[in-house]
Amino acid sequence: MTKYILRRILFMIPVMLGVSLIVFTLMYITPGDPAAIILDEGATPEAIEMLREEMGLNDGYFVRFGRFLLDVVVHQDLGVCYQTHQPVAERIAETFPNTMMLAGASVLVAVVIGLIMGIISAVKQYSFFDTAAMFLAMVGNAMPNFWQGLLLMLLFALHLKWLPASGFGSLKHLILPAVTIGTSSAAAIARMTRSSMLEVIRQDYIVSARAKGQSEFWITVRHALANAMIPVITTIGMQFGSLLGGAVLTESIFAVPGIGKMMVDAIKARNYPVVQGGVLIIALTFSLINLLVDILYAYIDPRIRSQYR
Amino acid sequence: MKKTLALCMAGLMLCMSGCGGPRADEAQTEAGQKAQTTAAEAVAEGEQASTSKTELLVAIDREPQALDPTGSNHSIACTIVAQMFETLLKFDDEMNVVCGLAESVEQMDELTLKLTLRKGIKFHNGDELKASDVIFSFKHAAETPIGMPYTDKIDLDALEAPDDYTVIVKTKEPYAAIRQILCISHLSIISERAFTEMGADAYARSPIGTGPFCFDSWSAGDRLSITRNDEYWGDKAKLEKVTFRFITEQTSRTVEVESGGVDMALVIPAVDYERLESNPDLELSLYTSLYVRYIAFNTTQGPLKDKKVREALNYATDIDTICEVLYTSKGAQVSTGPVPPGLMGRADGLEPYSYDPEKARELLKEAGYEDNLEVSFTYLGNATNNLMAQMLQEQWAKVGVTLTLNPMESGALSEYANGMKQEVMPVRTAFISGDIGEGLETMYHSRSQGTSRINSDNPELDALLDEAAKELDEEKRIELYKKAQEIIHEESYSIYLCYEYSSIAHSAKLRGLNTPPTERVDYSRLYFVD
Repeated sequence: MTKYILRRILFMIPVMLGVSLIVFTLMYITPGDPAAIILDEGATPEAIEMLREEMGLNDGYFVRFGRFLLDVVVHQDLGVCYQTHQPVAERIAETFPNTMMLAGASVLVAVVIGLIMGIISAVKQYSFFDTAAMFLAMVGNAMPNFWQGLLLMLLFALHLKWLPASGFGSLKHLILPAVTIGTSSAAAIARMTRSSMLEVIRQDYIVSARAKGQSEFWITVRHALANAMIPVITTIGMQFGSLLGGAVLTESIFAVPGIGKMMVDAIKARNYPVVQGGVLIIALTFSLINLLVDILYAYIDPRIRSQYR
Repeated sequence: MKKTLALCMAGLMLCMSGCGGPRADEAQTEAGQKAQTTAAEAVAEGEQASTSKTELLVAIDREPQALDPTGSNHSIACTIVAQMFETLLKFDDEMNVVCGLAESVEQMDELTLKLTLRKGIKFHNGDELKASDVIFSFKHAAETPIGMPYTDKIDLDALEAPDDYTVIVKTKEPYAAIRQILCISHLSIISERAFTEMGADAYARSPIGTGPFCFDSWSAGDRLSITRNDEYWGDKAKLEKVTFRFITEQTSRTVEVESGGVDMALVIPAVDYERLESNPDLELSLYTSLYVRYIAFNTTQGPLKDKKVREALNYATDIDTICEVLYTSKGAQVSTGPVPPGLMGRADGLEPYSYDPEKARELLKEAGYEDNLEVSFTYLGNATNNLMAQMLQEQWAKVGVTLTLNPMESGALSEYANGMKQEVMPVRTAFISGDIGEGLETMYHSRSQGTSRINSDNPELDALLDEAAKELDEEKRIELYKKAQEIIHEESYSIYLCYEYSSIAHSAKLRGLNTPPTERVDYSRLYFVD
């Protein structure tokens, strides 16, 4: 098992290198000049040239990529943000915990709603609850987050005045964005749980469990759910992983100082160091979450555990 | 107040012997005035004596890049900088130049200004403001790409400090707008010692100035706070703390101010005006800014080199309808010339191009185009511009002009336009220095090719603008600028759209808001009533 984990971690190195190369190249070929954006309208060509030189933008592709790699690998330095002149690592350290918190809360909402809805739907297949839950799941999945976020904001912040409209810092601030993201993730989880459970419920061992007189509740939880968990965990892991890359629109609407908002602003401003640093961190967490999910498989399913060497 | 300050105000006359002589009684009168205002304010304060709210929360549309005076060109960043830093001279609410950190200014000869600093002004770190800080600030600004355009007329080697409270500023050639330039927040005075000790990056994150507010804290991506400077030399701020929250989503800003989450929100979308105005708990301030919107013809590109084509497109455009649809009559005022209202030297009587498709067709025919002119419209792809593009496309089609649309993303657009590749493009430009000459130059002088979207190269116009910039006689200067505006108008370099209003929505309990065209709201004057 340890060997397996070590091997997986070693595999991340080429992944990270590949990601860096792709992001760097994409940013390099994307039109747009960070110096012109920093100086904004009315900047004289001399001023732009002066800043480009200062920022090292006049160097060639290989020089710049080499410099970036050298800084990251040798000096463990992600560079300095073009806009705020903070070290990129510091900016990520400021924004990433907020995104983590939001992602965590959203996944919590999603798992609670999604699992409960999925299980009941499967157990009471074709009942009124099942139809209603799956209809809601479809709506939740189809409704764009930015729209749902605005509607929630109008209702709970403007009309009822129960919750703050935007910002970050307290539990109250977390509720609206977490529900916005959580409900759409819940939809995916509910559907996955339902179909996976339906498959399991028809297996012989469920019939045996019933035959030995076990209560219906325990059959559902211990035999059906436990066996239906693998695809559900994959879905949850994927949702969590992509949320850690920042829920861009939701973060913008609720003014959450998270990594998604930082990245979008950085891309608009051609803030290369922040984009590169941010993508690296996002790719790294995504790989780690994937690894975590794979380890979880082993924990849940002894058959898979025996395959890991 | 205005009259007194007008004495010290740097009128543009060459012989300002007056300012040097009666400095003593000028200071007296000013002190007298101050006593009066304080008394008046004390009365005014009576009504809000019971108010307990001393912290203001403001929703702003973007995070400043840096708080060094030369750290950013964006309006809101400059406004925040202006709460913590001060300039030698400054604009009053009517855009007159009055004294700031300098208590008097004297024109020595046509190149030289002698500025006397007020004594006893302290930086937030306790150091006293000295003439050497002024010289350091100007030299620092000259080294930064953002400050450079404002110092290029100043002869930096000739900057002099004969004593701790006197600064001699020389320009390379006679420059009439030097006093306006000294009002720009980019030329705020920074503390030499603090800057050198902290280094540029740290200073830009936690700046030290002389203004009515001190820097407090900045949490990236979220908020920025400033607190009252209790040692301030002038009228102290009434609020204890002002916090700016960065909310990029315009709808979220409106909802925040409506729900009471913030006390004030800037840059309100026009669609929300009516709703906010009907809300008794809120007030909406719409005020003229220094921003002009126009559709620029790139005069270096194909058919647009031809004046007849540019004129024809002007006649083919129904500006009133476009402005009404895009900016509503509440959000902007339809333009009647290249210069926003309120600026000295603005030409008022320019005959506008009427909406006249027939005439447009005729002109196009004369220029050799009959139903076969094709031009491209390059623009930042957002909802407003998309709508503008569609309206133009439809209106120009009526005179046989095919408009191809070329929407771009902001980063790519600035690079494209700096390379002068676009043909027709909507532009928003600010007369940021508050001086007509500076604005006209960035828009129409051949020196500005690559920055201006018109890229005109008109020797007659260049000569006029150059001459006006050097002309120290105010009347003659105004005359020259009026002539320049006539040429600009006659050459039909652009389609004027509108003078944009700036918007602030705020709690009805907030008082003391000033709304100068520069958008530099003075937060030290704000206070709450119950």
